[in-house]
Amino acid sequence: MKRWSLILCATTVCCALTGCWDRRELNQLGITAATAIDRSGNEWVVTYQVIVPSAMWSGAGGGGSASSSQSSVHVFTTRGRTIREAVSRANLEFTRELYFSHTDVLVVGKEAAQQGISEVLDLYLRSFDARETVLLTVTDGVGAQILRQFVPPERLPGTAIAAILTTDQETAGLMPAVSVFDLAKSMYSDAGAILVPEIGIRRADVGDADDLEGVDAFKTTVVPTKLRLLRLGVFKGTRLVGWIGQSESYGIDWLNNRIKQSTITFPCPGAKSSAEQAAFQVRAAKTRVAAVKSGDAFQMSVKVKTKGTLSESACVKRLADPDMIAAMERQIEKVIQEKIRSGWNASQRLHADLAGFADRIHRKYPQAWRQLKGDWDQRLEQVELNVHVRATVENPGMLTNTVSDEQP
Amino acid sequence: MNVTEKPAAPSIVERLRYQLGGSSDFIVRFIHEDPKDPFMYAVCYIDGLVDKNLLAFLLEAVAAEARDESGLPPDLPMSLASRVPVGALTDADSDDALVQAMLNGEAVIVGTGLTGGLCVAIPGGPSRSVEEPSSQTVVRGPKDGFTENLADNLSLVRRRLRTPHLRIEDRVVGRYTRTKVAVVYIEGIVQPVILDELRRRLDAIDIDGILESGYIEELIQDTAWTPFPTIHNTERPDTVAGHLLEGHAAVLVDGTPFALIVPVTFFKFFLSSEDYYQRHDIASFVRIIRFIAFFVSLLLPSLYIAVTTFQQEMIPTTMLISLAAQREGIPLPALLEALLMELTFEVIREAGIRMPRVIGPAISIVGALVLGQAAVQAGLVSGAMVIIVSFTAIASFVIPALGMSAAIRLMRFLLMALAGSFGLFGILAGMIPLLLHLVSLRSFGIPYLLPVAPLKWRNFRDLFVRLPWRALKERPAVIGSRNPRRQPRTGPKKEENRT
Repeated sequence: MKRWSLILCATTVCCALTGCWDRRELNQLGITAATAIDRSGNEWVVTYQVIVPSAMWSGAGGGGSASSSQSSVHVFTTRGRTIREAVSRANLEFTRELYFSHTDVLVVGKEAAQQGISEVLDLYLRSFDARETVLLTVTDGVGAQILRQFVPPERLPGTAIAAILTTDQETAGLMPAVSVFDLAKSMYSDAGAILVPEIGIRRADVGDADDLEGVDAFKTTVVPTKLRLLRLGVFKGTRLVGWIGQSESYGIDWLNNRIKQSTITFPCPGAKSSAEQAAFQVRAAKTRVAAVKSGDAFQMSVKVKTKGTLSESACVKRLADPDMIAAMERQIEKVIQEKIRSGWNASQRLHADLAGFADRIHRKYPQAWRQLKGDWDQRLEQVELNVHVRATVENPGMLTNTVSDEQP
Repeated sequence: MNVTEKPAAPSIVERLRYQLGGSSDFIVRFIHEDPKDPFMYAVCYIDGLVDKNLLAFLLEAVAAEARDESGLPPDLPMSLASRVPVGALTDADSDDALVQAMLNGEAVIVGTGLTGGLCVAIPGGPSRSVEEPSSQTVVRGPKDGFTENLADNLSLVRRRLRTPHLRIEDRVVGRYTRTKVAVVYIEGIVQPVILDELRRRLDAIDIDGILESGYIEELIQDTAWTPFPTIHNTERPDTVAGHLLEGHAAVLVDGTPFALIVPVTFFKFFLSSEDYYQRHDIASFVRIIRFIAFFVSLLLPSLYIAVTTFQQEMIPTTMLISLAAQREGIPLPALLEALLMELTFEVIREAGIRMPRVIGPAISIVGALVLGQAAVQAGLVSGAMVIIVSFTAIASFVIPALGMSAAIRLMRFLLMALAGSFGLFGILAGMIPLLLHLVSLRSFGIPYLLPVAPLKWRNFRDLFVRLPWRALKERPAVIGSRNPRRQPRTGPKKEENRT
């Protein structure tokens, strides 16, 4: 009995004395959907896209009802010599405690990216609430500008950007989705280079960038300007050193074994005109890279195996013919090879080991690597690529012939 | 039965009347051989405790015996036995025994040729007929429930177990109430250790009154310092029969439809007799639902509080936004909000039990609409919290045993306070001592969490799921281990189909 009352006493005292020390009610949180980091002089400029929950919720009745006239996000910017300083100044102008655990995307402005974002990596890896799983994008301009854009029909632009990145990687494979953690990983790898998708505002024929800034963006079906993924920023270490195009990055994705689902367009075997194109839907792809030392130079043997289906065809020849399928496979192989080569050329041009060959050489030839290490990026040009592609068309889809005016 | 010269009858009647303090329901019928003579026999009884029809038979028989002019020495017991269709005939010598017999619903015959008196059991009086149990209903299964009459209740059990091995031990508890308490068990299945312990604990009771089996339950349980029931109670004779067959013992108390079952383990409170009447797969599904409901009922409000005030990063983003939107403008912190709603529900619940049946619907409307809907619209509580609290409340009614769901309710409040102060760590800090406590509990020496701790794999066949009867050939381990076989080892022979 005495023991129990003692325990009861202790529990009560524990609860009462400690209080609810880190209690945060949901309505005290400024849930940040996206963050942008820019550099201005010596200062970090941090922009937050904070969700306005009452504008998001469309439940009937009750505490608040969604009105389309209210913006679902609130964007503002603070400055500071460190990022944390900037964040701590947020409450000079914002009512809620900024909350980063649900941040989906981090946009890095060009200037900050060129100066290097190691501080950002440090912050993301060090602090409890910001997660290194946040997706990273870079923009050729000011990051803050990106956060001000809506992505109709989604109501949360930050989440929408993250969704674009992940959906593309899973379905089309045109762009890699890169997290802060990936960047940190590449920074400490031997290759030290990584591609980060660029997000930008594509200006169409009409209108200008400001058109997406208001909730009026929801009132039209076609928006004159759009946030979209454009090129890819090449990061060496934590610095942005250049840009490469999508088709080059696509080749590098093949080299990196990062292709899951993709579509390859290739000219028909024996095509009479360039209009005779066909599409190959990649269902499975596997790339093996091995380093082979020959004298002082290195040869990278790249073996690609891919399987898929024919998803579209404008080829006039009969597809039921096995030879035709085999010829198509050769064409697909050729296209993939070209993509890989063009990707590798871009990598050589920028002196950035985007394919991560350095790590393979380090693992296989640790002795040789010690000498290479110093000027590896310059030596990239001497590396030869030996590409073998084996593509298999597993089935031609539900049609064996092509729907075409010309009959074979 | 000694024949004496002169009856001491009048003085006995007077003594009985004196003992009962001249209570007006003490009735004496004198039966004279001749109106001028002093009476020959007197039949004494308490009005309302005897059956009127049987009493008429009895009076007639006694009168016939008084008129008997055969000259033979009067032999009342013999002649009553032949003339009156009554139950037990006993004789009692002391006045106290006679008074007690009358209070038990017997008629006492005193008179010429009798020392002491002759007690004829003709119990009667107002009693409720057998009805469907109100607290433990089933869809499929017997619909009869215990009543307040012990004899009826015993017959309900006996009718299900027509075996000579079913044993009923009567005892009387309560100095004033003199309540009949019956221990029921099946000889050969029940563990003698448990039975002896039960007898010992029952015999140790010395109290002025037993008005309900709850008194007995509290007086014989292993410890009072737990919210968890360590003795099962049921209104259902089939539940009692089922438990007896598994090696438990039952205690039936006169004056209440609730029978006690000992020993009992934690998981028994989540089982319903219907589980055995339904198909095993459906019963298993329902059982799993019940265990889920247990966790919901215990943890849902505290998890909600913890996650929304401390560990927001655990909520998916879209859900977080929708929850945050609902909390916009709510003045109270989540813990107080939850406590307010839980308290409201407890009040409505209690009111629902206590209030007269007629105004029931009015209270439900006020409770559901005014307090639920209006509180949300007034912005006092969030819609999500109303959902959490009402789901918790509904989940708590899924647990078949009321005692268990009351214990869970208490624990829920404790966990909510912990969750409101420490978040998920608080819940953990509450759950660990709770588990330690449950493991430390005993019911008549049987570990409370029996098949799980200590682990008895055999009992898992009839625990979270119920396997088909063919797989339940053995009684549950430990409690039923004295006589483990329920079905022969080999299954029913398969018929050979030859075409």
